[in-house]
Amino acid sequence: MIFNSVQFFIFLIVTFITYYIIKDKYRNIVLLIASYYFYCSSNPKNLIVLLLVTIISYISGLLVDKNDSKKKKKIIVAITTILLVGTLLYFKYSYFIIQNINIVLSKNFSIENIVVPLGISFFTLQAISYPIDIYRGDVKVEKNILKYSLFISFFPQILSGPIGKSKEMLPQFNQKHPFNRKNISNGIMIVIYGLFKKIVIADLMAIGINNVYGNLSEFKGIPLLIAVIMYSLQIYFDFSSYSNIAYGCAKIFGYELNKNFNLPYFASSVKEFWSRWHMSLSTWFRDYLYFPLGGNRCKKYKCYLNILIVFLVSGLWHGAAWTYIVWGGIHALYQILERMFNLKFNNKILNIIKTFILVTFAWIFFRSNTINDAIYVITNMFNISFAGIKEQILSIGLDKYDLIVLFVSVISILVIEVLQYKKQIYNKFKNLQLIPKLIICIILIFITIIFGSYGPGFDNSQFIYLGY
Amino acid sequence: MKKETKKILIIIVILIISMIAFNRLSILLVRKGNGYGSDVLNFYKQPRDTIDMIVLGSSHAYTSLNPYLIESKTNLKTYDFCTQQQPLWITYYYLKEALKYQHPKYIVLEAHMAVVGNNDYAEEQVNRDAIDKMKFSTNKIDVIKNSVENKDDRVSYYLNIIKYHSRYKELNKIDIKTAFLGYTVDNKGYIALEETGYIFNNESEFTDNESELYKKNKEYLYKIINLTKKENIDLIIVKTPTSYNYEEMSRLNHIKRIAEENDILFLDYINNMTDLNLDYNKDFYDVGHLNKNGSIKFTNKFIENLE
Repeated sequence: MIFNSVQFFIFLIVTFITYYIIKDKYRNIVLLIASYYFYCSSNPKNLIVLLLVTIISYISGLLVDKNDSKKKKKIIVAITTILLVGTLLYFKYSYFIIQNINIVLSKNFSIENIVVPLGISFFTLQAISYPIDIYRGDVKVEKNILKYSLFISFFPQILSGPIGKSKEMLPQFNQKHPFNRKNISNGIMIVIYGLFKKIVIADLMAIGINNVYGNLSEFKGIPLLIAVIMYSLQIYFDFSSYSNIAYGCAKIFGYELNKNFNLPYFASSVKEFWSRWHMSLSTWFRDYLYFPLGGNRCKKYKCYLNILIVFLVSGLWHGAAWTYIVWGGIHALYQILERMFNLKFNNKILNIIKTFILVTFAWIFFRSNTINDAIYVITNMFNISFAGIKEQILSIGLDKYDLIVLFVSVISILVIEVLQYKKQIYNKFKNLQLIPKLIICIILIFITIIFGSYGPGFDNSQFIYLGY
Repeated sequence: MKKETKKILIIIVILIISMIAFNRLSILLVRKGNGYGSDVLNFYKQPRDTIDMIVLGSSHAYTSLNPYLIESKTNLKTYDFCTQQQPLWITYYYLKEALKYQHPKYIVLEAHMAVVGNNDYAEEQVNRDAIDKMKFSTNKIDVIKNSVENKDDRVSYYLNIIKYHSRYKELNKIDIKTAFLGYTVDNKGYIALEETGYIFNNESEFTDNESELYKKNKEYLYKIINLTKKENIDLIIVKTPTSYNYEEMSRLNHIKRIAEENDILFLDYINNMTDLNLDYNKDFYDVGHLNKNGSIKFTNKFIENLE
């Protein structure tokens, strides 16, 4: 069950009604049942892994809390981390590891097909951080297993985040969540805004991008360049729309998820980009990997090494393929170079454009199926000819109407985001009366219905980050 | 309290306006068809209880039976309520749909699809032509359930905007007139095919043998028979001129027997094609369809037989 499906909206409505008609003390149980149902709807077998990860980290939390010895606490945290990372490695990376061993040792080891449980990369990180937070004294232990299970499996965030911080999420499961019209209407508005970004923009871009990346040898120059730039936008609209929907859904039930995006393409440096892009993941790697490695409170070259390690791991976290590792490595290189040399222009807009170009270049590796494909894109995208430019643009598989829809939609979102950047316009939307909110929602729904990419024959509806 | 009531009323009004706008939008975007078959929206526009004879079936029906000629000669207001290659189960739900608005004296069922049909489901285009413009009702839900095999595809029939939303790229005057000015194709469902010079060669393999109908066809043929009996409507089964092989002729004979067993008038213009005085060089559009001249001859004979 994915967010942009009819089934999900039926599920959401049923859960919403049940949640608010029963007594407050039973609402967590409703959410837990709903979350497990949501998670099982794709593959019930995945529930075993989710339960395993939940139980391991829950018990670990209790043990860390119970033990007074710092050494013992450390050992428990280490064992838990090894067990959970091991689980993630087994499910997500076994095939990749065996494949590379075979290449290096010229062997022919095989492994049975392992189905990667959806969202494992996200909920495992959440589970790893919990005992560490208790160890650090950032959060109190949660003894109620139902509440803890809900923290790991909360359906708006289980598949693709935002990765919840225990100190921010766990207290919310102990609070009452009365029916709050403002929260609910804001939540619905954010969900619809997310759907607009996903269905009208990201999925329409996906048609052209998938066509180009699926038939790379047929493209050179302008179409390749368009696909490369468009992918930067697609992945932003796709993933931020998912985060919007997750955020809005949680808000409908009275919960606040942490922010995942903060206008990333307005960043003036790659370092700043990472403080604005997939913020819950960046924060996680900072708190649970970069800082323990020593962060930047160490010698210059050790600090560079730490950055390299964090971004290589981050690349690998995104997917079991060399393309992701190279992507992570490029981002590490950017940041090391930014620290080594002053690469800033005096003009902020030039810095924003520079950062966008650098990030877009790295996305080529992220999107390509193989390193060779990425090299093909890089070596051919500047092979530009302006002859028959109109035909070249249309050859990516989008017609003139699609391009107009994309242009108008992207500019509209850009204007909204600039206004948010300068005048915090989101707050004005949140404080609107119910009727203006309703009108905005209806207009967005109509635009999405007409101009969205969906329906029979359309197959781009998966969210990109569901694959990680 | 007054303020709250006012707010609720405004919300209700906004929701009603949105629903109306959604309905118009669906009509604006839905594919209007290729000009073959009756325009369902036009059928809905007919004044209630004014049609005396409804013709059901596939293209063999709407190209052969001329409602204007029937009406002028018999005073029976007639309507061809058919779509191309319409399978018998859709025909049954068309009959139910028609009976919501009309109480005809006669139902004429053209039997071609009962003879040739040998699948449980028709092609998507056939379903779309028949179902897309039907009003939303339990009858529409039933016809979708029985006509669309893939459950996931059914949602795009319940809400056809899912299928047609991208037609905003190809909207034309007809789409706009249909959605906002109530335009419909006012032809009583009849399609007059032009002369093509097609030379008909009657290769029917005549036989007295009988062969079972395809299971789903037989089930719905009986449903049609039983519904017309229940509603006290005279059912007439017609087979328009075409060329059938041995198996098809055997099935036609089986339909004839079913008609006899149920006291239904069966007008077989394959075994009796010579009665029509058709010119094989001029009166056919193709092997299964009469052109305008052929349909006039056919309709005249039909009226004669009816009397």
